[in-house]
Amino acid sequence: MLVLRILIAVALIVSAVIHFQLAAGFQQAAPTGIGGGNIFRIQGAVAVLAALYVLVRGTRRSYLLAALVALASLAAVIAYRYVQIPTLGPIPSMYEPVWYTTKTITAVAEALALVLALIGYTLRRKSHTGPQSHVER
Amino acid sequence: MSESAAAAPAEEAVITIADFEYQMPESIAPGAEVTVINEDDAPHTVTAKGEGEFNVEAGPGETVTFTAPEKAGEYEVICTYHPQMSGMLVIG
Repeated sequence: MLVLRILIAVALIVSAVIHFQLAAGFQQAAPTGIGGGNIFRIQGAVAVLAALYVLVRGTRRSYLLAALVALASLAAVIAYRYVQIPTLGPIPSMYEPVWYTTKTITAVAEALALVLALIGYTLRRKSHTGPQSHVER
Repeated sequence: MSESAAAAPAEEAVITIADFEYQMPESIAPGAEVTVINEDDAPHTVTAKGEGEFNVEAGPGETVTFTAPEKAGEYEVICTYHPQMSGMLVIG
């Protein structure tokens, strides 16, 4: 399970680092509301926290949080690639109809983090509902 | 690369893109070969808004070229991937 936690954390941190790197440009590209760059920075910070949480604790809740962060990030990158989403309150329109290396790496890392986190969550759930839990009762 | 682009006289016809902004020369000769240097991690286009006189894509870190229009005038430039990006290319 430690390997799984490390892999999830690495995938989330890869996504976070790329978001931090792209933040300045996207603040310029989508400046309305709180700005695309600031949203990227928030994503990066949340992804790092989720990575550390799953790495340190490895609880079901930490896997679930990692999966949710990865899912939200992946959904956003795919949605803004294919759908011209308008400005939504403080969230600017970040439509960018193109794939490129860093964006693809981010999406793959997020997909990997999502799948691995769901596996981790399922395994933890099974270990809680398995024979040991009967012994505990 | 950006230093030479920043200090470039107009006849060198270099457009540098950095931090999602176009750095245009003051003017470009009609029909000149224009070099586009993209210093960003994201791809951009140098696209004439409207009648489509030119449209070139530069991937992350790429340098590409295109031929400037023969007709003198001011051409509004946009990036089709990032609608907030715009600039003015002066031919003449």
